[in-house]
Amino acid sequence: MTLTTEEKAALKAPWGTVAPLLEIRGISKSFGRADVLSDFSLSVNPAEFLTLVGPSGCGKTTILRLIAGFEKPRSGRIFLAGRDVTDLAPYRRDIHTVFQSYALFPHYDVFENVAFSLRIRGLEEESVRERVAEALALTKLAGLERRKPDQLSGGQMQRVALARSLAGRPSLLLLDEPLGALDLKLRREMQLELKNIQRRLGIAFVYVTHDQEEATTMSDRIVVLNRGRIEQLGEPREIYEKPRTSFVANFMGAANVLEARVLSSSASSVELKIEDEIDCAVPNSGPASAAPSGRVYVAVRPERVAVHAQRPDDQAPGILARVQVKEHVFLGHSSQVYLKLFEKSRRPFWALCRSAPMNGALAPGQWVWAQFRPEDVLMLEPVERT
Amino acid sequence: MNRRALGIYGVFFYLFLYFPLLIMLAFSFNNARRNVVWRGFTFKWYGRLFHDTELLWALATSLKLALAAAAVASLLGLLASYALARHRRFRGRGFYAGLFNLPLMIPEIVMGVGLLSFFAKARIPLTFWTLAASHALIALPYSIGTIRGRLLLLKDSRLEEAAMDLGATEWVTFLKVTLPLAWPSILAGALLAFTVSFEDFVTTFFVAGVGVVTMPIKIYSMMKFGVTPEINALAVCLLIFAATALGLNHLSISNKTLDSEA
Ligand SMILES: Nc1ncnc2c1ncn2[C@@H]1O[C@H](COP(=O)(O)OP(=O)(O)OP(=O)(O)O)[C@@H](O)[C@H]1O
Ligand SMILES: [Mg+2]
Repeated sequence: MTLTTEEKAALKAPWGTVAPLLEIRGISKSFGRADVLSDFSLSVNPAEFLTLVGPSGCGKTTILRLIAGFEKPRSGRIFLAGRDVTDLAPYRRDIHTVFQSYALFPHYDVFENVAFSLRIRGLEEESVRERVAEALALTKLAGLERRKPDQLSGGQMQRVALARSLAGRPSLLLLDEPLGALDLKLRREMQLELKNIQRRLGIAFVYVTHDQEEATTMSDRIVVLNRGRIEQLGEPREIYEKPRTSFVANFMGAANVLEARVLSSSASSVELKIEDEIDCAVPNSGPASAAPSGRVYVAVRPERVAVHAQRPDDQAPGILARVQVKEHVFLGHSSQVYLKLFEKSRRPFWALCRSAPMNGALAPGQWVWAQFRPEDVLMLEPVERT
Repeated sequence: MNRRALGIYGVFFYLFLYFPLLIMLAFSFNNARRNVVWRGFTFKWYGRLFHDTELLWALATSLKLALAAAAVASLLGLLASYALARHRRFRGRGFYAGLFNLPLMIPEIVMGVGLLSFFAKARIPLTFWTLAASHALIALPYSIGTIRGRLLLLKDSRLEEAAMDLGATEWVTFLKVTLPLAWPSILAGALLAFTVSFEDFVTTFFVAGVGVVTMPIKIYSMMKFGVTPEINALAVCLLIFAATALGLNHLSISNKTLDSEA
């Protein structure tokens, strides 16, 4: 079943919102005794680039395998373009997968690999050739038609796997860490190409990666998973700027998580006492204000912390603290400064500085000033933290 | 260890293994009835061998038998391995896998007696075909062993899943992916099964019907009059045949690996 553009357009509900292409409703899955997913729901919009990120073992591959039909859920349903596909075999679903190991057929050459799904559908030789050529051009593989998979480089195999999945023009493509086996430079290149191809073809991608930078650069929306649950779902910017939990703050970028007490809160701002030391008023972003006078956690991104030798004579100094340097790590393009925020503070606190502060003349034990803006104090949901 | 000592050890090791065969080879060309003294070179024993119609009949029977057994064992082996490899978690899988290997563990004499009493109780007359069925049975573990390993490797490489993901039904996947990639192992298993059947003596001795004489049985009956040069010549022929089979087997296994996608 392949959707034409008109059909895809017709899926848009009359009231203007888009009907989801894929809808996972309350799925549970366990292997033996281990519950991997319980009551998991997610929807994917047509032509959307959705990325699943999360630590190893959190269930990303399992979700893809459920969507593709290789695993059956214990309960819950899966809908594709409004049709219940939960009990359909993988070959009855309009979904293709790019496997991490590529899974190219070693006994077929590149052309036949890419033509596989077309031949099975019984397309005529002429249109097979046409569509294979199209897919190969798209993935910059033209000229390699007669190579066998074992005569290809890692990057080329990756492209063949992609071309093979695209040639069938599915409405949804699943990619499980497709760039995981490539070196960093090739990976950055392929990220851009993949995103380009996805945009051009208007195929929805559900993409799995553990590289948060990859997720941020490519996705329309990101799903942050933790132990089979959605910690947060949103646009990359939103996830970076408004992480809801300390898990998200730490997983998507780096974060200094600090404890704070809410002194008072209004609709627009919250008065906090951070680590029993710093009084400050931060914008009220929502979640934490639900716990008045309770303990909350806040996050400050290391890249938003500035380090000064002298007390800065800014007009608006923001939050300033006199701190002691614990360690200074020079990274080339930037440097990390580990600080002791307070005498008794045991939480790590560090700053990521774009250039070496004070020309690199930072010695452990030295007293400096740390500065960050109230807007950069991110209030987290009041979840228990160990 | 000293290199030289190792070399000497190696020489003795291989002599121990192959000296008897060398003796046999030499005496198959000995121009004398008795196997003790060298009386000059001759091809006459080979000549006599190829004119011994009884022996040629036995050879033909053995070849037909081995072919039939290999074909049946390969087909059943493929089906059984497919079930064992494909459905990793069906109930009693370990039990069935063990059951298929049982013919390897059971002493052949027990198999022979068991088969004979079964055929007798079931009133099945002993013919070429009962013998073929018995040979297929003892050869089955070998073909399952070779094919199953390959199918498990195939499964881990996700190739069959990839095919189904691209729209191939189970049957089409089997034809377009499983079979072509498992083919070398099926061939290797068939060769093994062929050899097992061809050289089998004990089981055959029990269940061969009247008038069904296989090569090993024939050799055994010839031996009643001592080891003659004809037997040496025959053994050499069989040795060449076995070496060829081994070489073919080796080629068919090593030729195609799944390395590229593993
Ligand atoms: N076939 C299986 N049998 C038993 N347990 C399984 C099976 N497949 C997955 N699991 C378990 O389910 C959990 C989720 O696995 P999954 O492969 O989905 O994780 P993942 O998020 O893809 O991890 P990674 O980033 O390491 O690939 C893990 O704890 C894993 O051990
Ligand atoms: Mg995974």
